[in-house]
Amino acid sequence: MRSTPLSTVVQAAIVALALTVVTPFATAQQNTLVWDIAAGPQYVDPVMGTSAQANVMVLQNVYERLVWYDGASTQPIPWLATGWEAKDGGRRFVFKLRKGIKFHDGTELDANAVKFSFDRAVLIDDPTGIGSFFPTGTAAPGILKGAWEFSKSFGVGKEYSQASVDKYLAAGAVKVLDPQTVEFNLAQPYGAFLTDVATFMGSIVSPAYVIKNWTKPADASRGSTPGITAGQRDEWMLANASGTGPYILERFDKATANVVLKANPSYWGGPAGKIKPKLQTVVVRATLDQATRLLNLRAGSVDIADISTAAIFDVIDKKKWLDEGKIAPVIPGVSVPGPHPWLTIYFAKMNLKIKNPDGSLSAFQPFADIRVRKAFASAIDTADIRRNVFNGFAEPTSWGMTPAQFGYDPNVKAAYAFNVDTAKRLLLEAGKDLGFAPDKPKELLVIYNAAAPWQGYIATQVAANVNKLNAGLKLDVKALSFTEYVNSWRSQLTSFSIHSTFSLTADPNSWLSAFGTTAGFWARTNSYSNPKADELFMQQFQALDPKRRAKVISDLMQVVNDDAIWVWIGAATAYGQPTFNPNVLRASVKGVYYNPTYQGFYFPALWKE
Amino acid sequence: MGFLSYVLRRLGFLGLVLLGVSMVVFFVLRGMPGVDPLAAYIAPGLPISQEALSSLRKQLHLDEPLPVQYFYYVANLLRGDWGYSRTAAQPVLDALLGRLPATVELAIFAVVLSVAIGVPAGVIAALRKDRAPDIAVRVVSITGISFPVFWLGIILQLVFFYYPATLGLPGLPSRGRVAEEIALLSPLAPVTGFHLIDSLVRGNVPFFVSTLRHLVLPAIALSLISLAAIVRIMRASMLEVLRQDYILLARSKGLPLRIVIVRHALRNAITPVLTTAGTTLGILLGGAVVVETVFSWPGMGSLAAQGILNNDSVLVVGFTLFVATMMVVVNLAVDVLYAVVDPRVRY
Repeated sequence: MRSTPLSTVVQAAIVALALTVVTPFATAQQNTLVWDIAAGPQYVDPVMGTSAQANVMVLQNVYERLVWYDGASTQPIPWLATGWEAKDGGRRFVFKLRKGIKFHDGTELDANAVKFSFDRAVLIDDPTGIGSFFPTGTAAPGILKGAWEFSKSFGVGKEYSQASVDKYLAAGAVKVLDPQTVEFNLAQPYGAFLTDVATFMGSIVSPAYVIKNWTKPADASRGSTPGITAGQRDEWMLANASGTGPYILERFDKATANVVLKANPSYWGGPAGKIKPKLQTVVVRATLDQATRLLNLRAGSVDIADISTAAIFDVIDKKKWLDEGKIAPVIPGVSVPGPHPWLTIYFAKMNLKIKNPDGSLSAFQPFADIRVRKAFASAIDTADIRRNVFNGFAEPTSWGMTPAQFGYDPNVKAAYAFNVDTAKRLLLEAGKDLGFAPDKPKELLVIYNAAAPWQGYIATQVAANVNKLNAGLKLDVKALSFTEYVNSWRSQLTSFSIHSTFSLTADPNSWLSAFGTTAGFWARTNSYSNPKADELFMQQFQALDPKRRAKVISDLMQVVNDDAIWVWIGAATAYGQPTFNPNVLRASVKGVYYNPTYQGFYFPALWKE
Repeated sequence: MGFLSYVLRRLGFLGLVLLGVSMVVFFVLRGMPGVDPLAAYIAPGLPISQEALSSLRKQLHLDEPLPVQYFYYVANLLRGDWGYSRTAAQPVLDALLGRLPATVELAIFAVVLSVAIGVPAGVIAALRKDRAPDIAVRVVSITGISFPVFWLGIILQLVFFYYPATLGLPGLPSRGRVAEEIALLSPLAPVTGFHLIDSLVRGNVPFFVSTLRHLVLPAIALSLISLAAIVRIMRASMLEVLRQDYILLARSKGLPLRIVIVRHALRNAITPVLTTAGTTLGILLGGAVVVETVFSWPGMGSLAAQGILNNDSVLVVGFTLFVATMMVVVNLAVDVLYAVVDPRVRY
């Protein structure tokens, strides 16, 4: 047959039609949940640190921990354990395990699996950060005995030799007392130990599964113990899993970063024996483009979609939210739970020791004077920022903690409030001692990350407000590339910078350390040090009694606030299950509740109507 | 000069060009003032000890002078060590090579699409020069290339996915390379990494159909980048050929117009189009960043986009180097092929 243009067109049309028919979307099914996530998991090994929601979301549905959270509560309860006992003033923790719980590979959970999982986290020692909780406990070296000495990434370890592995194992950090009893030996008392165990890095993996897929290192100088190679990622476990959780990792495609979870048919039911997954399949698809995610949600082809806070007004009524604080979805059939407190805060940092690029100290150190610090803090209208930069998705906060965290005390007083007159008075006073005045002004630079426009807004506001005072300081604002920005504040080249930070746990320990102690992550970048705060930090660190710990935390918060080093701009709030990427749902998804310690949803709680 | 020495000479140039590219890329990464390359290796906000930082710096030779660092950089590149990507959680070269088939499959499909549409459109425009069809073809092709690709992608999603879905009609998928349920129910064991080829080889029909359905929208969006170029070159080349004496001779012999166009004119006019198609293939590999992101296509482009969002400079630089290398290699291949195909080309 001779082909004519018409027949070609007809053929093309038939092919096009054939392509559009076939396969309805999985969401049509009642027992399947599809979630379009902004970024899929990179890996699913609990010993790896991560700032990606998707990694942990998989972990918390596939793996389980000795203690975890029931529903919306942030108080850990026995989970794989039946209970625990703190001994020697918090230096030893003994856990009794439940009987008859099986891993997805069919092997049984026992004390050896617990020891294996924790030793694995310490010995793999991945620099991504999560192992850091156990070796160092951030400010206080040595949580699990011997881990600080072993860890190259977070402690003082020098090599991953067999001798160093043997030395760590001999220190007896985790001991099997009998098949159902396991003992943790800590280098010092640690009040937040249970909360740390409840994080995803406390996930218990199947030793048999890990060992079966493990290859002994060819390099003889590299230390190992069956199933674990010291200081080396386990390539198999990055993309595969065998836990005891309610869902089984059916498929994880590293290239697409899509995940398929299947309900575990022999799940043990959780502490009360009532957890039974209703959704048989959960499909998590990495859908990079926000417009595509929103389109899929509107079309009903997905049940959950990540929608960033910047795009929230495509989904909810802006006026109602900003004027009345009410979340009113504007897309039929879509629900937006929230707002909830979120484990993220925004703050500004003043540098007590500004350095020159060669590492020497700069001659002009305005923030060494508390009056200048208070003046800057008073020149920032945090309420305006919370409304106009964060679209109202931020609450006032009394400290670098969020109301979702243990020990947060809203009554701790700030050393400043927005008041430009106070700012002017303080600067004029301080200028007399520091050598600046309206007629002989000094210059300062405020930096921000060019990729974060919200920081630009704050930087510009500070500079405009201080410059308007005409009190002898001239501020210039500079946008830096991300690497320059990080380098600038890490190396203390900048005087004033703006940041946000997140926590992986509801326990305040890491933030108390970061902002309050000499060795703390943020305090190291502005040379903040107060011996009283250091002492209070250690007291709360070792306190086992929650009441006493909360009191010490309040005291610590006040001591740091009195020094006016940090400007607390706001504690983030969000909608959905908001860790990192807030999300909105089809109204047909039921059973949603919010727990700030979750990273993504706990799928056994959800069902579709 | 013989053909072989021409190829060798071009290969020599290729080495020089790649060296130049690696230098530019290296100095962008390391040479800019105030940029600490170590920042790319650390997740900001997570605690890391000063000791670990300095040991990492030493390990990566970041404590050495810049020329020495460059030496290590090139030596590592040649050894296949392109650095480790935080975003992909694997070595950069592995990550790029793993995603290469997806990108190439999309780019080839897009080129085939733009040739399939562009060549007839160019021929029609040339035959009807300055008349309505010519103007229409030119307007459509220029308009097509003038729209931002991401916008076009969204429009395609609206028309072929969203509206059909809301009306309960069948449509095309808005994202991905294959439906998850198909990947689960009829999994495909990779042979070449190209889904279409692999599913045919394995006789996996559902996988083939699903992949084809997923290819359509991103390929259309991507093809518009090269479509305008192909139409214009085809038109110009056809006009040139149509003016030749042998066309006049063929027509005066009384050959039907269709035969003259297809057998005489098109054959001679199409060579520059094929060259353009070859080089645009290289451009499309780089241009896939936006299209792959809009359609969540798991190729190198979407990975690079994630790398940019994630401040993963090691990955972004690796991607740049990789695409530059591919462009240079594709150009070389086209030139060599041209020399083989067209006897008028001298070495």
